[in-house]
Amino acid sequence: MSERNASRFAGCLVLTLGALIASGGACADSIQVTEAWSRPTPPGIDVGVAYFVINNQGRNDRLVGASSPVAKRAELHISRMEGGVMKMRHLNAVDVESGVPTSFEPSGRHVMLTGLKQPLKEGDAFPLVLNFANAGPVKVQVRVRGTAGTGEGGHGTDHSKMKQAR
Amino acid sequence: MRPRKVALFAAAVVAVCAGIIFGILSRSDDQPEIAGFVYPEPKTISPFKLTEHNGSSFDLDALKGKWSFVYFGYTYCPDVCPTTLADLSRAQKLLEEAGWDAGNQYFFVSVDAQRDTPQRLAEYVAFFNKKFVGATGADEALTKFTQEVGVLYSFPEGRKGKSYAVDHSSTVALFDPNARLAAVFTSPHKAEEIVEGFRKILRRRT
Repeated sequence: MSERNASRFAGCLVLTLGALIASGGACADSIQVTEAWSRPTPPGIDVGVAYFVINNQGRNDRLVGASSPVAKRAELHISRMEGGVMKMRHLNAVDVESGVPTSFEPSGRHVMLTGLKQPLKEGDAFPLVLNFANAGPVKVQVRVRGTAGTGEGGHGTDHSKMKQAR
Repeated sequence: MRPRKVALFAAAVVAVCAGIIFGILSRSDDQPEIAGFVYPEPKTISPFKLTEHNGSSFDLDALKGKWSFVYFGYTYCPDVCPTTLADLSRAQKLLEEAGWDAGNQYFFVSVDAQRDTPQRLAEYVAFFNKKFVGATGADEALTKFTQEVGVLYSFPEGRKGKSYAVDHSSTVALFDPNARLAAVFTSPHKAEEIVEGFRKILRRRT
C-alpha cells in the first residue's frame, strides 16, 4: 500500500467512523419518550399496562416491539371502538412519524404487560425497552401512578391539569 | 296466518320507528344531555339472576331502592376496564363530596365468569373502590341481561387458558331506584361527565 493510498484509507476510515458515531448519536437523540406511566395492579392480576408519548425528531421510524424485565411479555396493543364495542387488538408495529408526537394512552394504543412477576405498586418505577426499526432500543423508566381510587388525576400527577393551573 | 304475521311485523316496525322518532323529538325538548344517552322513559328490564361476589343474588331486587351504576368488563382487561373503573371510582368520590352518593350503588359485572371467580372479583373491585360490588354469572344469564341493557360482548374463538381478550361494550348503565334502565354513559368516560349527567337526570325527576 503506497503512502498516498494509506492516507486515503485512513481518511475514509475516519469519515466512516465519524458518520457512524454521528448517526448513532442522532438516533439516540432523535427519539424521546416522555410521560411514561402505568397503573397499579389489583391483587391477583398479572396483566399491566404502560402509556407514554414518543417524540421523534429524526427520520420516520417504526416502533416494532417492547420488553420489560418485570413481565414475561410486553406487546403493542390498541383498544378501539368498533360498532359500540371496545376491541383490543395486537399491533405488529406502530409508525412513528418525524415531528408528530405518537401517544400511547388510556383506551387507545398501549403496551400490554402479561405475566407480571410482581404487582405494580403506586410510586414504583420499572424499565421498559421500546424497540424501533431505525433508532434501535430505547430504554425508559415507567412510573406507576394514580391509585385506583383517585384515578389519573390523583396526587397531582395529572400533567394536563398542572399546565392548566399555571 | 301469514298475512297476519306480516301485519304484526309491520305494526312492530311502525311502533319501533314511532318510538325512535318520539325519542328524538322529545330528546331535543326536555331530555337531559349527558355523555351518553338518557331513555325518554326508563326501560323496564326482564328478571335476571346473576351472583354478587359475596354470594348474594344480583337481580332486579338488588337494583331496587337505589340508583345503580353498572359497568361491564373483565378483570384481565389491562387498559379500558381499569381506566373506566378508576373514573367511576372518582365519580363516586365526587358524588359523595356533593352529597349525592348515599342513595347509590356501584356494580362491576364481569362478562368473563370462566376466569373471574367471586373471590377474584371481590379483590378486584375493592382495589378500585370499597363501595364497588362485583357480579357475574352463567353465560346464558349474562347474555340475557346484557342484551337488554344494550351491552355486547364476545370471546375469541376457542377461548382457552388465561390469555384471551374479550370484546365488550364499555358503557356504564344507570338504573333508577325502580330497577329500570334510565341512562347509559358511553366510552370514553370522564368522572366529571358522569357526575354532571347524573345531576341532570336527578334534577329532571324532582
